[in-house]
Amino acid sequence: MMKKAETHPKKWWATIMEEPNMTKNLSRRHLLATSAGLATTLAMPSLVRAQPLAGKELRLLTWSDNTGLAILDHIAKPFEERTGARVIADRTGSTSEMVAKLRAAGDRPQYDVITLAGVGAVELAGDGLLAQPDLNMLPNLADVDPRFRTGADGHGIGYLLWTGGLIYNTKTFQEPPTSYAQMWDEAHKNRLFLPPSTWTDALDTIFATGKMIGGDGTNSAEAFAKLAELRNNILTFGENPAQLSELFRSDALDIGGVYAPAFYAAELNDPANSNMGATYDVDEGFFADLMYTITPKAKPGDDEVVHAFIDFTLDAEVQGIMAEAVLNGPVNQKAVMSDAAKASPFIIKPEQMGDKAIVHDKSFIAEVREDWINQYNQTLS
Amino acid sequence: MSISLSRPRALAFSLPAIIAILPFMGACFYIFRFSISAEKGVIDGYSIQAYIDLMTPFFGRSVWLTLKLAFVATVIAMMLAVPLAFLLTSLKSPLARRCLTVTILLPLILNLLVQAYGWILLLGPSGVLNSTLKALGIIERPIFLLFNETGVLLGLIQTSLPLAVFPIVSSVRGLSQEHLEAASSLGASHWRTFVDVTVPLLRPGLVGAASIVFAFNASAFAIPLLLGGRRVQMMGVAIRDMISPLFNWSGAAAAGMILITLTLIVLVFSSWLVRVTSEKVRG
Repeated sequence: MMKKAETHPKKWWATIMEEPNMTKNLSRRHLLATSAGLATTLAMPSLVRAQPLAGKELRLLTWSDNTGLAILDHIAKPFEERTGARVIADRTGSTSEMVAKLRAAGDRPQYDVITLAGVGAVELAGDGLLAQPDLNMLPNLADVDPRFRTGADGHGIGYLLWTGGLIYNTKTFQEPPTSYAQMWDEAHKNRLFLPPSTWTDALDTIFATGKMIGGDGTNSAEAFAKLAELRNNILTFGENPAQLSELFRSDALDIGGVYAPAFYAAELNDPANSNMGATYDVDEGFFADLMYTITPKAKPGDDEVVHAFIDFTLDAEVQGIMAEAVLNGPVNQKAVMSDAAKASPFIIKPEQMGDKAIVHDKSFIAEVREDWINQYNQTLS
Repeated sequence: MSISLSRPRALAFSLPAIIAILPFMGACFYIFRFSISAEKGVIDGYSIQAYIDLMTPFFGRSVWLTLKLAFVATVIAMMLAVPLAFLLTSLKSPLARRCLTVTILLPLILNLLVQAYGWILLLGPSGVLNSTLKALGIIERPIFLLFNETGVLLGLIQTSLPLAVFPIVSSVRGLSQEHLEAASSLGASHWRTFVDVTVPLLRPGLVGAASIVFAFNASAFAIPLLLGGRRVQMMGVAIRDMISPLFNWSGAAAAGMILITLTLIVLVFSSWLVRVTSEKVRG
């Protein structure tokens, strides 16, 4: 028979629990523990979502100039914050050096992802050193202009558009120059620069010269004969963009090309002090080279983090930020840019890639590259 | 009191340095092996095609330019280094000596990019010199002292001067005052003493310094790149261009071997010249 106290609900409840003090402690402890457990369970998906690649590493190879720095600031760092993965970046001077590094490494590459110029991707794909990314793991690719999604036989994923035109002195030119032919003007003797032979811009310059003299750009023999006229007019080759900037600032240079405004985002926003202007509105056209992200076949990292990184480079916000930072053309048609960036004449958008844009046949360039570089050196040094 | 080491002991103390040098010697061997590779990008097979491909007027001009600039820079550096060495050894004040030593060492301490910018600010088309000369009405158009051979020469002299001064300082410190006093007491003028006594006694130090400076200048890469505007194709720049963007490793290795050989020939010749002229003097 139950005691009277045991029949009272409260007391009955009390009798089920242990002594009152212990009851309170346990229930507080129990409540705290239960709450903590519940909170952790509820938070777990967020934690997992917030750091989905925590503990994983990605080895990136990119450029050593301001464009590479922008990748570290606006792509690598946000990617680390978003995914928890660690990006170990290495930087080098040019696409040629990247190709040399990968070839030297052979089937034991040090890097998981490389950003480089198109011609480098074509060469490495031809060497059989690259893997073909799984496009199903790149959802942002759907927003990329179809012309710029893949290249190098599917081994390269479009990244940004590297564009080249004329750089000019805003004190010398009241209006932007309208033709590469103005580089041959005797008024600019010893105040002219050309790109160094080691850069793809040098190949663009040969092409531009060929077009300027009435050919289709592949008329290299005539182009070199025309370029030879500039031999004693050149002040310097623009191996060091910062040095060129100083020469413009000190009014020692008038004009040069083909060269990328991408190096001079800050200077072009301040022509009064920098004396620098840039133009793509040139009779013979401007040059647009699709840069790629590639991944070596025997990369050390895993596919998940590699594809996540490549997809992140195509994110609309990331593309917009990079376009503004380094004056490269975004390939994502939904790139989020400020009004000033959208109006900027220095950032080429996919819709501007009409007749005036010269996009090289990468296979042709890979074929003539060595010969053109040698001839460029011999003609102009 | 002289300190001498037995050969085994000297070898033991030198062992760490020898171990440090070994990888470099290994690298030199691989460069030689690459230069006779049948493939441009990998070491595979044997061929002297890389050397044959270098026999072009363009490469010949590059070799000539390298030797010419290295030689001229060496001569000028030595002419500047000798008085500096004498000045350094004659200073009584330790502070003054230290200040001068640091000043001479500055080109080795300062970053080359910073030095190149300094040259541009000073000698560039719109630099201090040209602006001053234009303001004085002496010139109408700027004088081009940079981004050409003159700019490279200035840079080579500046960076190699420290390498010339300190070996000569050691030789000057070893000069016997008795010989100089004897010459003076026999009626020789200062100039005669300098030419007939001081210089012959300094000759080993001078040749040693000149050898170091010549080898340093012949293999220069950064200075021609920064101050030559890429228009001065010294062999260092040409070798770099063969590697990237041309990936012609065997060609670059062959050019490197040619540079090493030419430099060694010059050094051996100068040593022989010193020996012969020393023997003549003693005779």
